[in-house]
Amino acid sequence: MKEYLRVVHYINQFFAGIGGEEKARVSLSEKVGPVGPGSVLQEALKGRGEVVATLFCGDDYFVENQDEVLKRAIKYIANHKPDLLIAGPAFNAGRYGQACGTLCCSVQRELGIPAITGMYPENPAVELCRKEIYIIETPGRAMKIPELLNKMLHLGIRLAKGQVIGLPTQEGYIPRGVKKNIFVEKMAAERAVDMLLDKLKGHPFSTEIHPPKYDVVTPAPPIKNISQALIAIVTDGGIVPFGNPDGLKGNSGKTFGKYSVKGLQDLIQKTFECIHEGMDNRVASADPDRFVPVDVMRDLEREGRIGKLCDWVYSTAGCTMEFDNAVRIGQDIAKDLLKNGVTGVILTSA
Amino acid sequence: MRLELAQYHIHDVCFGNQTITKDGVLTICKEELLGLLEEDPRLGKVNIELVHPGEKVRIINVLDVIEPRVKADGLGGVFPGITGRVEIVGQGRTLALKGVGIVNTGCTDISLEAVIDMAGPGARLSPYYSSLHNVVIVPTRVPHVDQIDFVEGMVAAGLKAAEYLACAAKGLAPSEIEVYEMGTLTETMSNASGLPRVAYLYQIYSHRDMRDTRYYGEKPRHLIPTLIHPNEVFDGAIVAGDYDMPSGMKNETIVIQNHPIIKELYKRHGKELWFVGIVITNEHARIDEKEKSAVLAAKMIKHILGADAAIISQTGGGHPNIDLMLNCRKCEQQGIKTVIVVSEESSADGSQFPLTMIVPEANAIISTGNINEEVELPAMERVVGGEKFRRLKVFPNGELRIPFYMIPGSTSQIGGARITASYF
Repeated sequence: MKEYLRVVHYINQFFAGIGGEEKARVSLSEKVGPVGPGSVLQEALKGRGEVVATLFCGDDYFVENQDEVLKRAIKYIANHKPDLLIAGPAFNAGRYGQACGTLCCSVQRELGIPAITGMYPENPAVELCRKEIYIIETPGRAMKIPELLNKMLHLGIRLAKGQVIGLPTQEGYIPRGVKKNIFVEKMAAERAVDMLLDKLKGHPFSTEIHPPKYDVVTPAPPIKNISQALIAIVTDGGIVPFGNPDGLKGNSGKTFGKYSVKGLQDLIQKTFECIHEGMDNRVASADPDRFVPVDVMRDLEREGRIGKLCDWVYSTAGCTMEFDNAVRIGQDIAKDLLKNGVTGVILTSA
Repeated sequence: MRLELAQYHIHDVCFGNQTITKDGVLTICKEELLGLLEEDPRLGKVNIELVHPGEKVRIINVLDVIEPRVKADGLGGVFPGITGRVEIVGQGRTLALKGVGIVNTGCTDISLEAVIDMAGPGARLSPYYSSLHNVVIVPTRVPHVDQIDFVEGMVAAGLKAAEYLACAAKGLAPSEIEVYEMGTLTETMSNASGLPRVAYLYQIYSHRDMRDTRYYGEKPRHLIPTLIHPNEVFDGAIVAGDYDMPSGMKNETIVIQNHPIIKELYKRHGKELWFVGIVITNEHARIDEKEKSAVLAAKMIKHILGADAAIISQTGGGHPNIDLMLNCRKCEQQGIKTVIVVSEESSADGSQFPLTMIVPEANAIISTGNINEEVELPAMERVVGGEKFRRLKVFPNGELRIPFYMIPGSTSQIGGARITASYF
């Protein structure tokens, strides 16, 4: 990074002095130099840099024309060749937060320029972008703007210099939802006993793994007429045709396979096999019906208990699979099942 | 029981005409040790190499690391059920050579990638092992011996070598003696003096061949939660046998012999807490067995040990998280306050939730680090333990980019390391 720091600032119509909600539809513009609260940045940069330009846009306009605004903004920003983009702070304003967050992500991604914004942790825009960019934590109401802008600038400069960024509590940003290994002074055994004694005494302690935020999935309604239904088998037991033609991974997989069982009455060893690496898979390889119960499903077909077994079996190995990959695989399989007219699934798991 | 761990600090290891210890130097008669190991028909020709701290050496295909120990007096041998008969261990005097590690390495169809760098950034991640003078056992396979028998042979070989080397300290004055003394439950109850009573619930892993922690030499596949005296753990009642697991999902024998959580509880015993005992439990493969185990473990901790609190740790990867959480829930429902010690299996970038299960009662967790985070290691001058990795298609002596789970001891599941995964 050069010695002289070129900064672009993004703000909304309100902070640009244009107006309040009634002006939220003004389109994207830019001005040379700082505007409104940008003067704080200008002051802080005196002697070592400047706010070369300010971009501003109505919050509604941004959100309603996001792709177009981002495209133009990237062009404007690229022209100024800045070292850093500072957006906001947006506090708890959702649309302003979305504008700041998406703009910072785009600038960082497409121009390779570090970008920083500031938001209240409960701003819905935080979840959109915290994994990609640093968001300085702000209060819910617009206040302490000079202090916050200085914080944002300070962290932005360190980012621009390629310095290692410390913990959220040290640097003042909202935790990004990533964990990194670090060395600590005390061995884990000692920390465990410390934590236990604190818990026993009713003293505060900080657990080192927070529970995830679960999304709630509404179950599908029951099948009205199961004797007519097309039922598919889906498995995370890693059953594949012998030889694993797709090269499905036995652990940390990212893909699934779709295999035909048309005309098969049961799955026998050496025609299918189990590649799941989280267990003794020899038993399942000896009789793949254990995970993909074609034999039992054929009985149910003959007895008229189900309509038909789907010709396709969907398979992946769930061993140490990343959560996001599991979600995506599930969604992709579901799409294909719906396309094939499947109304019920037997899901087997290792 | 009262156990005296007599420690002999060794600052160098070399080969020589006899196996002796003098002035802190362990000399090993290579021929004699090889003769001892090659007696076992399950092993082919064996090679032994010495590797010292600070050397630009990379030990690969590490299966286990063991501390040389032998009983000076007291019943039994230090690895009851394996190197000798089962007797009551955990009392009397045990001799330990400190600063020496016996490293079992495997052939490439057995071992998973496991790398100990004796210098550089890798050494810092695994400080326990990189600070030892390592006696590395490099076996060759015999065609007619199958994998499972070969692994049994390796387990026995490492432990035999450990006892054999420690014999070199017999009759000598130790550098120091650590005393571990804990009375019976009857003695305990009257002495607790109002301190919180803390138990340790130690989950071990025994599922299938080559994935069995050993308990008195047995593969505890059907273990029902059982009480064990902490001194038994120090005296080798539990040793590694889960060779076919990634390093990040198992504990090397040396760490069990020096069990960090047990040592920490002993250290604070009588001062801030009253250590009431240990329950060991297997992490069964079936969910109904896991649930049963959790009920019985909680019952033992609450109604037999009378504990107020428990530390719970696991051995293994994702499915033992289920045991942790079931154990935690059952204990907390009984009014036992728990802290869990666990390593994380997030994505390499640390953005994924790292456990297969969590329960609301698990509100006090110590993280020993994300085993999937990757680290870069520089090239090394010499490689010991094999000529190639099992799956990684890179030269072992070159630059590596590997996950923490390939570095033994880096994310110690029984609390022996100083790495954690922090929220960024």
